[in-house]
Amino acid sequence: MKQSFILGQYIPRDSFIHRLDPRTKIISLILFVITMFVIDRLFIYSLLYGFVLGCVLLSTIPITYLIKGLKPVWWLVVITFIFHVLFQRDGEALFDVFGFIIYDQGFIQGGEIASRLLLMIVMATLLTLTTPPLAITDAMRWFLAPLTRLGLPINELAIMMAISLRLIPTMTEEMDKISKAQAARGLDYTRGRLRDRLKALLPLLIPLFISAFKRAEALAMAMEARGYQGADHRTSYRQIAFRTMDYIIVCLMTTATVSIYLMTG
Amino acid sequence: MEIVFEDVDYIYQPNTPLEHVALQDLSFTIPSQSFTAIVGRTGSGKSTLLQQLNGLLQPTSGTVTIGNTRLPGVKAKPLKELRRRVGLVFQYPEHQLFEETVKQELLFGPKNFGLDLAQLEAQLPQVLQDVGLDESFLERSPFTLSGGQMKRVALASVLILDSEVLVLDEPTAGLDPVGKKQLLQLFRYLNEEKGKTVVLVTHNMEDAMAYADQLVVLNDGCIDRVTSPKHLIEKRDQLEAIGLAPPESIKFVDYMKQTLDVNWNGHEATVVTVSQALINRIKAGANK
Ligand SMILES: Nc1ncnc2c1ncn2[C@@H]1O[C@H](COP(=O)(O)OP(=O)(O)OP(=O)(O)O)[C@@H](O)[C@H]1O
Ligand SMILES: [Mg+2]
Repeated sequence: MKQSFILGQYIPRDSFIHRLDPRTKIISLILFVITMFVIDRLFIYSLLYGFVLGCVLLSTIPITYLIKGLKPVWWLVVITFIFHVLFQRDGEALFDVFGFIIYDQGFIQGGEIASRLLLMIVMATLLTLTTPPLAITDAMRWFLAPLTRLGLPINELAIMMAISLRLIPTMTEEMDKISKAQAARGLDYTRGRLRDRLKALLPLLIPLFISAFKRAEALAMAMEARGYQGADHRTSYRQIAFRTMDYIIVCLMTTATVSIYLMTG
Repeated sequence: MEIVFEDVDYIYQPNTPLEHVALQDLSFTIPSQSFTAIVGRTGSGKSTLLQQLNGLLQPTSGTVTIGNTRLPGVKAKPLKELRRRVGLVFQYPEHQLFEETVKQELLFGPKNFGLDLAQLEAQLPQVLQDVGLDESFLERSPFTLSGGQMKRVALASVLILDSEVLVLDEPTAGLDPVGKKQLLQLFRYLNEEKGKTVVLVTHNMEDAMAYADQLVVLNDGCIDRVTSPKHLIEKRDQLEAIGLAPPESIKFVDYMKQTLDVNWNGHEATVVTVSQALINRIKAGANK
């Protein structure tokens, strides 16, 4: 069986990254993304690549697993890069391929944008791989807590997010089972004309949606049956707790972001 | 069609942190036209094994030979042919129902395999009747059916293919006792009268003993034993260790032996055969 897409998957381990508070990881992710968007020097990208690689190594998640599990993303990154190389019209002309004049800025900007996409997705995946969905929810609830004063249903939002995150791997598994059940009845969506192939997707998508709705309905009923009546005033019994290491990491990340910003100013 | 497993291993998501060895070193044969039951506790690998039978999953190592097709390493076309010859009904019917009407649902497989639809359409009422539904279901939407009715429609949608081998993943789970018996009788009929090879997965030892002529006992992805119902009865004390409960009828015999100190050497397994043996004894006893 081919490996499924891994964004949203959680892999329990006992690594340095796993042990960090989810809030630390989310703050770091945000700072990382900000850094990526303010800088425009190539050498800093090599720092960022190094940073991401370091995080992956620390998480003890095998790199090959990440590479295989993010296959669709690689295509997106490569296509983005090629698109920029072909259509960017700034800078010095380098050479010409079948009438397309290739400029050096095409390579530079293509590289930057593709790198941003790539690094961001790897980091986001690393967050879900190393953090239980419930811990992510708790962290989101904590971040959004100030907004309750504005009357926003924070707890509901947090629960919705947790359930959606949880459902990504479930839905991919479900998809796998459905496509097998239809293949057993002779469905083949990998061959034939494009129109036939698109039509062959219906027997996959309809059961998937129906089962997603049913699952949602069953979940809602099960929550209600166990006394859930909206999440107001709930206190979380799982306490997420900042430890010394979390303070150190947040300080380091903030300092790094600010100094990179000042340096490249 | 004979099916031969040789040193089959199957690993889910190999070389990832979620790697899971689901089948290990399986070697056994399912004889042509036999009624084979595959039993084992939850998670023992039954569904994984079934999916090897029509190439939905292919062995990570070792080979599965089905008739004249050998897996792994079969091209798309013979694979489709294999699926036509080995009909597989999945554990959860909701994974396959999608058409607007039951009729279209039943004709979905035949359409894919390029069978003669006009001729099959005439057989639809009969197939529905076989699985315990009547003709009025033909125009209903599969999504308005109850769980048990969905299960029967899913079963009918494979039966209509009239394949040589019928592979069933817990086809009777969640049905009422009468419906369950009716389906098991149907499988026996297809096996005995129509010469189909039947492979049935079940948790229920009672059914396995009563209907199958060969039992494949799985434990934690390995073959615990391949045996006949009769022999398994003799080794019943080993069943509980691998998460299977002996049938009630056997417990009854054991209880009789223990509390009434009855001398009983028979190999009777099902309620019918146990009662018959009992009746014979009582008659014989009266004569003594
Ligand atoms: N897609 C998958 N990825 C990883 N592991 C899997 C996958 N599907 C099944 N497994 C694992 O393989 C083992 C065997 O699963 P299988 O579905 O064959 O069990 P089963 O005997 O049919 O159980 P049940 O009686 O509950 O249906 C289980 O431990 C299961 O967790
Ligand atoms: Mg199963």
